[in-house]
Amino acid sequence: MRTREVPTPSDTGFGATETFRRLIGRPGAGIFLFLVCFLPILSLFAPQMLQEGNLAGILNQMVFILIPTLGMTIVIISGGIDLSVGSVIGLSGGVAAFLLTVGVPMPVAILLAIISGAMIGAINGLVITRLKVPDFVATLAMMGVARGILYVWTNGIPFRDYMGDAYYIIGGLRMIVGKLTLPVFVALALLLILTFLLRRTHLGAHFRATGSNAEAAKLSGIRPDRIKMLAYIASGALAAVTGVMLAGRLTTVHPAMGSGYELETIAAAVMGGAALSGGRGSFWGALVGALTLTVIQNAINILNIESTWENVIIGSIILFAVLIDRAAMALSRGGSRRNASN
Amino acid sequence: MASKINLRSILRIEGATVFFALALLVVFSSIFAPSFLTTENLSNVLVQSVFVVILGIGITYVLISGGIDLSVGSVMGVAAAICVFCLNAGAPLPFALLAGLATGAAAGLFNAYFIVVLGFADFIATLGTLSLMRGVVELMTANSRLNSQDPGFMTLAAGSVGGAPLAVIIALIVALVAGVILARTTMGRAVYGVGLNPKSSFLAGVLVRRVRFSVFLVSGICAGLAGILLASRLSSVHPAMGTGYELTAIAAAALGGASLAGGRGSVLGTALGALFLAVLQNTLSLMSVNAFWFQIITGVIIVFAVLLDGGIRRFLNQRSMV
Repeated sequence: MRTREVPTPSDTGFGATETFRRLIGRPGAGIFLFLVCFLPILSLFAPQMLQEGNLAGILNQMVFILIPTLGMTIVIISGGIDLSVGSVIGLSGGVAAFLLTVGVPMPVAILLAIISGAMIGAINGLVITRLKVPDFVATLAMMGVARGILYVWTNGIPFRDYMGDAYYIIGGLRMIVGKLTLPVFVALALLLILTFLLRRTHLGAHFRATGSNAEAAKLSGIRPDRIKMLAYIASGALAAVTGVMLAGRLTTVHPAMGSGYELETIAAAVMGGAALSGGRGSFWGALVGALTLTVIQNAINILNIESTWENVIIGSIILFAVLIDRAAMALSRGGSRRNASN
Repeated sequence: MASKINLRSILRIEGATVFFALALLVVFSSIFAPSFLTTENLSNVLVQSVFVVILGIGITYVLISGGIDLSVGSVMGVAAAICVFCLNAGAPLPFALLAGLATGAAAGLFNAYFIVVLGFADFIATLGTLSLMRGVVELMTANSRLNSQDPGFMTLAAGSVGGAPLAVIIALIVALVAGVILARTTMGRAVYGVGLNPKSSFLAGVLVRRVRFSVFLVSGICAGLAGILLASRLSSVHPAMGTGYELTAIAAAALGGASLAGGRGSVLGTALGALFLAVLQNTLSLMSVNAFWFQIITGVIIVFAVLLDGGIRRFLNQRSMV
């Protein structure tokens, strides 16, 4: 388990090497270094890669993976997995679009869509904690159910004609500050709030404790079931936020909207250093993971690589990223054995 | 008293829960979907279920050993693509089939290398392979669909031996061999041991790494075989072939009593689970229920099956303690 490292007196003042070791042991640090080296090398082949417009474009696109990845990270830290994310994105986007077409005011429509996502998360949590169905099976079933509901509801016909002026801004189709769009700021706000909660409140410790060892967490007064419920509700709500914005970005909600997001978000979370065994993970790591995936997709576009290569490249990078993360961890452990007991 | 003991001993048989569920479903289907009980429809359902049965058997090995394999759907696609590619290049049928199986085996070894040797989490390693192999299928089918009208190849899925579809016979043989290995051999029991407790299995002399290596190999080969059969049935390979099959196969195994925590599961249970899903889909389409309902109903049924299984196990444990 990784807890926040509290420097003991003997640890301080070790100079650059020790600081480097500690930094590189952080979740996602390895892949971050990879990204930092990878971008300039790519820009040698595609100079437009590092231009302001493209970098802003990467950010604008990245947040649609980042926001559900934040939810996935919470779930993974608390020792679970959520395969229903993609279906929740589609269903909540559908709820928002439907309510708008029948004339519900936008704030209400968006709120109800997010609540619907949170409720799906709550159902996941209840099935997992109360009925003791394994996370994987429960959320796999929910993935099918939520997607099925969207198909049955729409009869396979996409929602259209719900876009108002404000929705163009919410969907990130209009830039609001410089070349950045609203979703970027939503993601930034969520990232800061969640980081604060995870690092500075008891809640973060409770998530990690539940994920590392639910039994021990229980004995120390934490209610693991409640924490798990909270994690799935958060994941559902964050997926719904993504769904609402994606509905704006795509201007139609196809019933297949969001499928595949579950695997992409898991990949991003893990590239950011989250461990599927629970207890370990960070939101900044999630940011690095989402950024890496988006940069790769962007590079494939810019370098005019045939899109058929995309899956091969992304698959290789996922495997490669985990290798790098392991190497970084090993490096950080190498000279600081005495920290191991912390 | 005697009847209670009988109930207990029946419930103890592996796959009993899913068998009763399947029996109930068949009764329901025969009543509400009149054309269900025709020979043609039944043989159609059996052939339709073959792919998930074979995939599920491989997945069952992996699940019992405490792992997971998400790559099987993509591996199916790659094996099929390689097999049809060899046929189109003029290779003799046996060679093409072997090449397809070898592709599956290679993908299994690839997974096993990352998981056992490099120590990756199996979820991530096989997720990477899923993406990688899907990409390979897309590359291979980018310019044209891979079609094969080779009569020998078509026979695999369309042919029949003594009235029984050949594909079903192949699946039966695979299930028999895999089931006997799992239930009756040292290697098979070692798979359960590794899933229940790798440390004590190691102390008991089980070569844990070798067992974990072999289950992914088995899963790869099964995926290869399922891919070849599916290509034979479709007589072509399209870029998305096999997509989503991994989740159906895992669902079939879970229905059949396999636990994602490892240590539990059986070939018979998984095969019945796969059959259950196939009958369900068939019934819904015969009753002309909107196909979109299938996903919802499957999801709900999977959760119920896992709950029922858990309830029965608790019931059995309670009884045996008394």
